[in-house]
Amino acid sequence: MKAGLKWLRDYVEIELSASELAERLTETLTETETTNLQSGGVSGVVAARIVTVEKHPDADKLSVCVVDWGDGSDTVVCGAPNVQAGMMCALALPGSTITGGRRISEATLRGLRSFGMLVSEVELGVGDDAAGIMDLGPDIELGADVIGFLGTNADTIDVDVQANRPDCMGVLGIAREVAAATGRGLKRPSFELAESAPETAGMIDVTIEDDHDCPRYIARVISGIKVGESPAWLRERLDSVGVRSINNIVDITNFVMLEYGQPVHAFDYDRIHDHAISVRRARSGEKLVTLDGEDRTLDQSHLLICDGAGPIALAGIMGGQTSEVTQTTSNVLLECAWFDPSVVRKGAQGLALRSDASQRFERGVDPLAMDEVAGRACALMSDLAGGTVRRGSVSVGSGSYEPVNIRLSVDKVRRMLEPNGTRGEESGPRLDAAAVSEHLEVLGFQTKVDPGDSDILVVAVPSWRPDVTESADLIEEIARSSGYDRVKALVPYQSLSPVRDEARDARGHIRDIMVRLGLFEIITSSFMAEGAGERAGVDGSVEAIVLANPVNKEMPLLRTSLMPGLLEVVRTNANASQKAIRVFEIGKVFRRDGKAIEEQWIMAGALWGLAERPSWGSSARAVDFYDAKGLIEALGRELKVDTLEASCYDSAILDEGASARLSAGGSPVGHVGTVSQRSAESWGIPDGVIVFELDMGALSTKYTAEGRYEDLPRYPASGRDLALVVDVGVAAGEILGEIRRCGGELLVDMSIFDVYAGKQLPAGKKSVGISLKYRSRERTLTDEEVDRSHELIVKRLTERFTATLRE
Amino acid sequence: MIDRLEKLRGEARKQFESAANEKELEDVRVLFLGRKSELNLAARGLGKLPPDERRLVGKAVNQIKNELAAFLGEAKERLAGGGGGPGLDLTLPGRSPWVGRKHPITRTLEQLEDIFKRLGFEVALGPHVEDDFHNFEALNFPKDHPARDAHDTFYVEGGGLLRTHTSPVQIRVMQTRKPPIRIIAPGRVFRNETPDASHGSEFFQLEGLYVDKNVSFGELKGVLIKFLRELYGDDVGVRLRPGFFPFTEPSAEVDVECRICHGKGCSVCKDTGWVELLGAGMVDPRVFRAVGYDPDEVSGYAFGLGVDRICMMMTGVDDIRLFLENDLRFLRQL
Repeated sequence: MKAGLKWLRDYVEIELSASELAERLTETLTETETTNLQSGGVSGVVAARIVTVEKHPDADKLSVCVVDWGDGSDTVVCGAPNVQAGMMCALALPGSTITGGRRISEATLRGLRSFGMLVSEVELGVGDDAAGIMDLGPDIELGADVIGFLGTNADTIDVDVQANRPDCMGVLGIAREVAAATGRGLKRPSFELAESAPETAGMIDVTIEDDHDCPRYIARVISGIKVGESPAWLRERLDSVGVRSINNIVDITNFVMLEYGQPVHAFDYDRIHDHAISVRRARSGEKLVTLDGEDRTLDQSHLLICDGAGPIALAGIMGGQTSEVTQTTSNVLLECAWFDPSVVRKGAQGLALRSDASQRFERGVDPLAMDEVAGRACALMSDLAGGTVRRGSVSVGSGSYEPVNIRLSVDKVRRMLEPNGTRGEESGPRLDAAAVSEHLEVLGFQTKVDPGDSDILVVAVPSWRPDVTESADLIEEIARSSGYDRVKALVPYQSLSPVRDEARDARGHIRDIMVRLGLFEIITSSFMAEGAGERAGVDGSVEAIVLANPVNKEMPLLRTSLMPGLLEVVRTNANASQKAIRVFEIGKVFRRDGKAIEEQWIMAGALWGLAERPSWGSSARAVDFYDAKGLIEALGRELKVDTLEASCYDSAILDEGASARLSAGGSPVGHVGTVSQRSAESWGIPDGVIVFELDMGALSTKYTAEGRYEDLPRYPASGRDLALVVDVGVAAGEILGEIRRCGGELLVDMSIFDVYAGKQLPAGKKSVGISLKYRSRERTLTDEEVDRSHELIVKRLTERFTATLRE
Repeated sequence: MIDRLEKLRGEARKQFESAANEKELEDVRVLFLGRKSELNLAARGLGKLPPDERRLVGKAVNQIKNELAAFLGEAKERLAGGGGGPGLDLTLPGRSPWVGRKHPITRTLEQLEDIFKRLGFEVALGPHVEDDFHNFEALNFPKDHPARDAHDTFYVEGGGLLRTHTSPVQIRVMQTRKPPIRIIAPGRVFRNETPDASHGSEFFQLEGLYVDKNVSFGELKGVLIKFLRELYGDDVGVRLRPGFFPFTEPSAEVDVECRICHGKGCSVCKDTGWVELLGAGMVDPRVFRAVGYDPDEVSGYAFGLGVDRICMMMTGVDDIRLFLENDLRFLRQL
């Protein structure tokens, strides 16, 4: 809500500059800024009086004026049609600059010397009237800097009015806050209303269908008005808040709305059928062309103003074209009503039509100001448009206003704002009943001490403050009125011992490990495209959550998998010529399970491109399945997950031969695999992307954060290698499992160091090189002891896998 | 004999240096250092020499053997792409391992959580798909009230909505626990607006709540100032001014002195010298009633902040959309 300083000064004395005032209101009310007039580099333009005007002897359209600017007087040649003797105008002296950086110098026009130039609003950069020179009005002093003068008068503050403050949607309401913040009194608008017969009651009939929608409706009639231009003071006030002047009648309704925060509407009385107004809900499919020219189709959620023939306005939102005030209007029906905030809000939202009026009604306008507001508008129509105000008004409905009284404990105020004597002597007196009353009364609250309890103030809330309904609201009024900076900050103390969220800590722990393993964490959108889940390998039976109003129509679902977002990151980074991608995300996926909505934490990741960081000595090897599997195994080791096993896994997007289900302690935790060529093509990613997905819930129950100490080995270990030639179909995991089973207690470690299949072996065979390590905790093993253990294993393996040893 | 060995060294050096690949180098090695090489033969023949000569020649053989081994090493290094010449080329870049990094939002969250944990807050989480009661009603956003305007909401078909702030976690915690409560609720939130440089349709917030007997506005102020000093240093200017949130009363907007211009005024703070960082206030009694607490018995404060915004201020990121794009060039910078 904008408010010009000049306008505010109609109601309250202001000695502060616009920026000082904005700062003060920011401290006591809400964020307030200044909007300064853009002078656009105009300088050296002074106020001058036109002394005489004569026709240019050689040019019909030019005048020769003698101008006086206090410090001097000279002749200026001017082409404007509106030059008049006695007018105060803006004189650009030689050496001055006007808009567009144009420098003014002495000139000769049609043989006559001109000492500078008389300029228009446009040339000053302060308005859009280019038809003539600017009339500065009588208030400016001769020789005064014009930009300075206009700038001061055009100073405007812009108040960020919160949704709970209808009163501040009017300049008067802001003036009340200014008065309270600066310790000044508030002058209410004063006007005299002269009424003449006949009675309004005989001229218009008003009915209300449902007094919930419209608890009160006031109609007044003003006859014999003349539609024309508004006077300068009115135009100027509207201008200062960015409202364009249209004609005196429309300007008056806008002015009154901006002054009180109560919208009023002017209908052309003669265009109202049967001179009968009814307030009712629209019937489904009913139509109305609103003032903005839109043909609107309505339904039961819309509240209408109708006449004998049908709808003439959307109540509280916008008038209709058929009853609009025009240049020929001579009788006006003025509406001043209270419409239900939520009805107006729903109606305006449904039509996507937020008007100045609807924004005020939906906050709840002052239910007790309507008679005054209607009177104010009538008085102005009489003064400015020569109308005759008809006697009385037609007022239907008694309103729904219930006065609010709040019992406020002064002790409670102190406990909230000044607990335990936190206010020392240096910071002023403690809040007592008198101070609390004073803070409230400057804002229009009335207070009196409860005769039965001196701690209690009975506070009457003014009708324009529907936001204040209980003592917490009053405490805020007191806090902001005395200033938040006066509340003493207390050092936080600890009285609670925070509890850990173990599942969350597990996610943090896993994230740390993934980063240690050289992956970048990513965070992707929770939204995904229709069908993206299936394309990413999610089971078709999983039901996604659908958004009713997605911001991006292409992404209407909540993700059922992290995979679509992950592959998109792979795609964009590969397209950005990255040579290697190593990323993971820990995030939520969503699914519907009947009525319930399930949210589940998942980790997904991808590897692609160079296996080693590019360097002069590195191989150019690309990552493969085993890099990703090794990564997960490393994670498993860090998490001290007992066993992590891989088995066959079938997925819609993974390569059948290069994907594995991962299990920990026998239950599945996720999978890893190479994205199949077909899927890679469909997702627009390069070949050879390895992805993995792990269920964080399943994993976090299986891990141990802390390690256990065991005695370090005191005796040396002995190593034995063996190269086993087996059928290519024998899985390495089976061999290792067999060794684990039959290894005996001396076997402490094993690892595969080589796998070979090729020319040096018979077809269908492969050789698996395994390193075994033997150690005893009690003594140094002899070669014989080691050989015995080793041979047992070899024997077992050769039998089990019909294997031979390779030399 | 010694002369012969000297000559051998010259010859070997030339050949080691000119070996063009591993294969050639291996041939050269076999020729000069292999079992049947002249040097090895000379070594084996040492025993047949008279003691004086044996000592002399033996020493020379050993020395030359060492030198040839050094030639071999250098040649190997040269073929591996190394600097050639003597020693290491210390100016060659080393070989680095992959180093990963957490997302900047995660790191900012960790930083914030760390501070609040030291102040005795525990972490609480809630669902992303919420209902109207927890996201709005219980937080004193009546239906059809303009206070909802600031929360453009994603609705879920079949009922429910995506939480527009982390405040519903307050409600869930209060519904299931009795005071005292001191929590922070970090997490992802959703607003149905077209993303631009300063607005995302998904972003991150951190909510704080403390409920106990006799919690005062001064304690709220104290905890916020403490937090901001931990984050920005003891000299940071902090300002509380009136604001409006349906679920707090009194409500405050919390500004910190602009970190760019230190309060002098610049484009980041729009010449005000202040940057808005948090919303805060005393829990509205209507919220307490909605969760079955008695506002005459308990009081409390709540605050909330935008994690992305704090991260942007710390890192200079000027487009919030970059956080969910995950361009590795971007992630590597932060």
